[in-house]
Amino acid sequence: MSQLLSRRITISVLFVFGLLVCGARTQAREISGAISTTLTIFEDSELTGDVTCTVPLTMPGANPCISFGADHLKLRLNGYTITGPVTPPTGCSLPSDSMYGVGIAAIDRSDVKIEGPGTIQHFERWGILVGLTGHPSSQVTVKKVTAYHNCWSGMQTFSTSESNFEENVFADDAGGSNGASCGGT
Amino acid sequence: MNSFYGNGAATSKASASTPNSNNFGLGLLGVSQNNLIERNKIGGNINGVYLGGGGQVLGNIIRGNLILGNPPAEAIREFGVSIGADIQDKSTAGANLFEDNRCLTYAGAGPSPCPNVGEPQEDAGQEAVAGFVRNRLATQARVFHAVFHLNSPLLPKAARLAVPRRIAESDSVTLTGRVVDAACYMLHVAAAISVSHMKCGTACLARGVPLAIATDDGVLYFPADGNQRLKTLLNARVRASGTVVEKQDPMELKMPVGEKNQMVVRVEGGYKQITIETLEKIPARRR
Repeated sequence: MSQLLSRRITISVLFVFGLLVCGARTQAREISGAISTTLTIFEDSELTGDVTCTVPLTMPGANPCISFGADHLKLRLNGYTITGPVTPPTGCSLPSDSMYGVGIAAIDRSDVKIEGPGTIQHFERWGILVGLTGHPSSQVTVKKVTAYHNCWSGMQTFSTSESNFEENVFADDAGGSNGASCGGT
Repeated sequence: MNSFYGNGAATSKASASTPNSNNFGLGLLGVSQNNLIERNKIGGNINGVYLGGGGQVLGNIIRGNLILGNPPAEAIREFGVSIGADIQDKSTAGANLFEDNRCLTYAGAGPSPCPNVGEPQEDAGQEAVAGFVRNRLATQARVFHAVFHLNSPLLPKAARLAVPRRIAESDSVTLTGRVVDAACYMLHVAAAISVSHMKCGTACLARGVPLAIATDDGVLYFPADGNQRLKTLLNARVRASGTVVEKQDPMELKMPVGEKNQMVVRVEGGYKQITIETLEKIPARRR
């Protein structure tokens, strides 16, 4: 009897442990490969491979490759690269354009995080867009991210408050800003 | 620390007749106020740091950054030296504070924080500065503590924890220094004496933040009769004579932060109080 009880306890413990492991594995959405329509995330997400974006410009304003769809989310790049469709200065957005391409957008969001290492490159306007005029964001963290060779700024912030931007690299951006005041950030 | 390298196009300008590009490594544009830009590496961009015009870029602190090689030599050769600068400042003169940045070129209304490439004994020099600050606080405020109290009613003037005990009184002394917002001065010397702090300091003064005379060696003298005689002299250089007493009791300096918050700076370890007999404004020191 005592031996049977002991075996039951062991099995129960293993079963609970198994649930915890499986639960942890399903917490983050995995992203890789081609993205041809805006991917809006509603849960913590992470790259598991390089991403190539070919999102067509069909919506007025920003047409991001990846967009935060809720507050309190984290996107981990895991060392991979998100590549847009243009090579500056060819194909870059004009200030008069009403539709434009963006790598990652956090608009009207609070407490979201983009965590590198990882690279965001070759987008028509901004590698990262935080907030937008009339659509503020707050408590945004961008850490250890490289924004490289985007037409306008590597990262553009509008109406953004209480945010942290740490240990990022902004290189060779704004090579095709077409008169707009742009740069690394 | 963020790094900004090689950003910007020399052909991007606000208008065809503008001499400089409006691209940058790091830019503050539109309404950009009270930001801290600290310890970044910014090189090889058309402009390193770009502060936009329009009068809404103000109160920012740009501190301890490495801003060099903007624009790159090839861009200067192709488009001329005025195409960019390490710091391209279109904001109102003195509206933002530049402090301890390593930079070579500045374009703007000034005062120019560049060139500043440091000294050979830079680390030792910076340690000496840090030591000076520590010593100054050690003699004046051994425990230096600042806290925010949410939703506290604002006090009309500085409140002291207890009636100070008089320890020793000097003979008449004469001292020269600058009239400063005492609480701000103890938190951040450079910010307290900058032109950009004048507006903020005046607002704090109106709410009763105590003033003091900061001598050239960094010692604060609090007037025995409060702000009455100093209030028209904020940020001015003065010569004062009177008797000085050393106080050992703690003191609290309270200042409003926004509409609902209050910052309390508690000073322990004693302070100097002067009963002013004569007071005159004198010309600022030449730098």
